[in-house]
Amino acid sequence: MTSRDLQTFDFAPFLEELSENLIAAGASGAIELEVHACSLAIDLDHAVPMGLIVTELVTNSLKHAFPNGAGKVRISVEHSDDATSDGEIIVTVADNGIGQIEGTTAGTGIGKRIIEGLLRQLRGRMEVDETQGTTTRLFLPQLRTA
Amino acid sequence: MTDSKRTALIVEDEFLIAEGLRVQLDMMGIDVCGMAATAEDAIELAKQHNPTFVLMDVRLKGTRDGVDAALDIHEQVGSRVIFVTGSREPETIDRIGKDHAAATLFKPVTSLMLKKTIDAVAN
Repeated sequence: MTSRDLQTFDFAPFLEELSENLIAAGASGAIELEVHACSLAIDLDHAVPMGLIVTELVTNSLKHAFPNGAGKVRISVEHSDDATSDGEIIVTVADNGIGQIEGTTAGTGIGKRIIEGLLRQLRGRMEVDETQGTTTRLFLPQLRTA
Repeated sequence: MTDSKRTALIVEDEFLIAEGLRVQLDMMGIDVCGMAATAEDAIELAKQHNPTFVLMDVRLKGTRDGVDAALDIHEQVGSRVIFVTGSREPETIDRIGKDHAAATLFKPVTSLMLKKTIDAVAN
């Protein structure tokens, strides 16, 4: 990881390394990982909560999505191309697994509470689509780093 | 005063640290009456709930910091304020010193330190 100053660093290689480690440590079978992350200068105040949220989401996928031990996790980071979004960042964590088990999206789990709390801290919002596997999109306001 | 009568307001802009403090206070039998991430919310909640004491982070989201919030809460509500800070920089310590701090704790805050401090200032 290189950085031009001590305040910020590029989120992309951090995310790649983080997700590779998560898959290596938590996947029992043949889980494929695909990361597409645009370069994004980020400070620790944003990187830590974002890293924790991604960790929660990937861990959820590994725990629940692939009862047969095979599947794919896709992670992406992109700038929103919506002109009204004011530089919003979209982080997507998607799996091609069985989708959430009924009832687990109701917000009962501690993981869900942690994700929601950290997102509030980042002033972001989240959309979950469970029509094909589980796709979680995080919408984060433009990162105004010092 | 027994533990069950003591109430606390947590002012902390990092969700996980705020949750950690809430769990610690829960385990001590102290009622957490509110949680705030900004100085403005902290003052509002303190007025509303009149907590026995406030756990106050120094660095907060927004333009005003924990020292600003503590001054207002001291004047308008009178709750004891325990500062919880991650910084040992002289500038921060000086700012806390100018306030009406009942105590200052440095992160990470162990349950033992927290309990000792609360017992000392909120009885």
